[in-house]
Amino acid sequence: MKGFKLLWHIVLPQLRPATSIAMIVSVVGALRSFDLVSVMTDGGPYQSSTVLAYYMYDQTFGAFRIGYGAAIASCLFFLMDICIVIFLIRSLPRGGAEAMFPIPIETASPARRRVFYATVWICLFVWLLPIIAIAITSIRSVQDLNAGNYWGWPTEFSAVANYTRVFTSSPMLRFLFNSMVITLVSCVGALALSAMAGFALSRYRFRGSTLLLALFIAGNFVPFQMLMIPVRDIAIHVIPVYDTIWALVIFHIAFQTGFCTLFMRNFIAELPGELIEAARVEGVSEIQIFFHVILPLVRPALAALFVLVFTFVWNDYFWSLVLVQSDSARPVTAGLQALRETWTNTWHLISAGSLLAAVPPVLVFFLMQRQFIAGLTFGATKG
Amino acid sequence: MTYVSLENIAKDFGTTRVIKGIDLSIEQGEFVVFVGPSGCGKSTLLRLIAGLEQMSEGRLVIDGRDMTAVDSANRGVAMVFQSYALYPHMTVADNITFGMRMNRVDKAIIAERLERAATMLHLQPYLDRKPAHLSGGQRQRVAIGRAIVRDPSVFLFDEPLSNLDAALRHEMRVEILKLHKSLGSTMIYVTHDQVEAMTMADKIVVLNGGHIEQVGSPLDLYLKPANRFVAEFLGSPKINCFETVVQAVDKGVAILPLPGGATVSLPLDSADISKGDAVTLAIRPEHFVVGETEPQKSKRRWSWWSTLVLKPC
Repeated sequence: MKGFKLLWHIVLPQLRPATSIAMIVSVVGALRSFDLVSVMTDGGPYQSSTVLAYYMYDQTFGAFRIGYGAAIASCLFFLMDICIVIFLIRSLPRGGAEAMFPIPIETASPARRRVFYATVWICLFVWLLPIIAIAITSIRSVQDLNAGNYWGWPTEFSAVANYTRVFTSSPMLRFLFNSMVITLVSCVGALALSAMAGFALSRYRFRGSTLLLALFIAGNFVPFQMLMIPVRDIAIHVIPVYDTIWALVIFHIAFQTGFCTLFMRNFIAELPGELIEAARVEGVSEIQIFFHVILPLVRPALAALFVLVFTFVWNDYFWSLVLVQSDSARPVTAGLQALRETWTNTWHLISAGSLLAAVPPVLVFFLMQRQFIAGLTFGATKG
Repeated sequence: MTYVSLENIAKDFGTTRVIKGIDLSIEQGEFVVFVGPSGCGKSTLLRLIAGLEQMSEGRLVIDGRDMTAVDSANRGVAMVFQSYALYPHMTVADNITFGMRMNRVDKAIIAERLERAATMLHLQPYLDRKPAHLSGGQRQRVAIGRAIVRDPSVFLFDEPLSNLDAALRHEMRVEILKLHKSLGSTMIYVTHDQVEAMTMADKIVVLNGGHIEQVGSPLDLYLKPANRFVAEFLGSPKINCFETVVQAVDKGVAILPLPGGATVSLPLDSADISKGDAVTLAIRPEHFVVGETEPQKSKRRWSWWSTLVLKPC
């Protein structure tokens, strides 16, 4: 068997647990979608592009109908409950999917290979198109844009001028700095908490540990939009951090720790238990075991999580909209959105700013690429 | 003198009792081997002694101190695991000294003990290597070195050689015995391999289904097994068993009919076997000897020695 028959009869049935989980995750993701609607269409025209999460945000903070917003949140939560239950049931049996080795493309016939590579390049191009568009726009002059020359060869290159203006005429530097502080502190906080929680959940048997783990898993699926009213209330009344970067730091740590704990727990559970027992027999304390045995061994996982959490937090738009409103505390995502309002029709500047905002996560990924991939495939290739 | 004493030790996992009340005393300097089929509870018993599992019932005394509720770190035991349990991110030297460093032992003492263990186990050339760059036998030696530097009152080995190939296993067996001789420490060794048990032990403890079947020296167990389980468990090829019924007992000699129709007369050890009892006749394969041909029957005759008549268990 080969080709599609192989895919249809062998590969897909084997992947069923993974695909069903992926489907539930994407359903949840779709129910969560907010950023694109908010940035691109504001739900319009005539509400034709409004989604539940955006509608809720709009009703709560736009029309100040907080009770109505909360009611929508409850509905969303009910929908989500169904997904979570299905997910938990689905994820319980631990299907051991063996690593499969694809047939190397080099052995295919030349014609097939050409089709393959062409497809790869086309996909890559389509995927990168928005970034290419932004990159080209960011080096155009304003005359070009006014003349409608969006895709053609630029009549003049004003990259230096555009990028200098981004920094001189806007608080871009401040935004980038805020983003950097928020992201780094959140990453460190979430990783520290999740490593400890993961160690405890995987290595100690205590009353309610399974329930706690189930809560961590389920918590990942709660659409955070529905928490915006209580979170904003907490940030204003309980811990007075509203409109500071610490509001974002605290809530990002809180939201990321759930996912990270699940990841760390599974990773630490893979470590041979005898390593820990050997240390215990030698009279090494639990804290010392954590720092000297566990942490060095989960370094690849920490690196992978760092990259993921860095990207999540850096790209977050929703919470920066809900929790901060002054330029001094805005991260770069919300900052760009604010600039879009002050810099109407200055697409070259917006593009330049967007591109700058996209650089740090990419940089982090390339710096930690090796550890990242090692972390994701750990356990699969124990030799 | 009893050095390690297990008094009615039991262990439950949930509702199942896996160790069913074990009494055992071990002398100082003895090499004791726990042997038994997989699932017999031998590793669990070792882990109970190490303090890695909590006893459900019973008492453990080591060197006169009640260790039942003492942390494994303070029991004065050192354990060598089947998987070696070496820390992959540390060098050999760091692996060996890890426990001492964490417990803030004086640097001079650490260096001296490391030196001593490395010399004893021929590990000096490898002290700066990571475990991944060592062979199986070398890894095992590092694991033993880590136990030696603790200067324990009891060494615990949990199937330490089962991951090694046959040749290396033989070599390590000799090395562990040499070590035992030079250190003179008490050692408890778990294995499922009866050859290891027979060749290494001062005292073998045969376990089955969570209880002790028999305790004794290797030859005692081999020649005088207490029951059919022990008789069949030790010895390869396996002992031959014939089910039969005692035809008559006369002055301590029993007449037993054999499946082929012949009978055999055997002296009995115990007096509680009498006429009409169903018994098992067990004969070690190497004890079959081709006898002389008896002219009147012109059939081959077998002679038996060191055979056993066992009550069914």
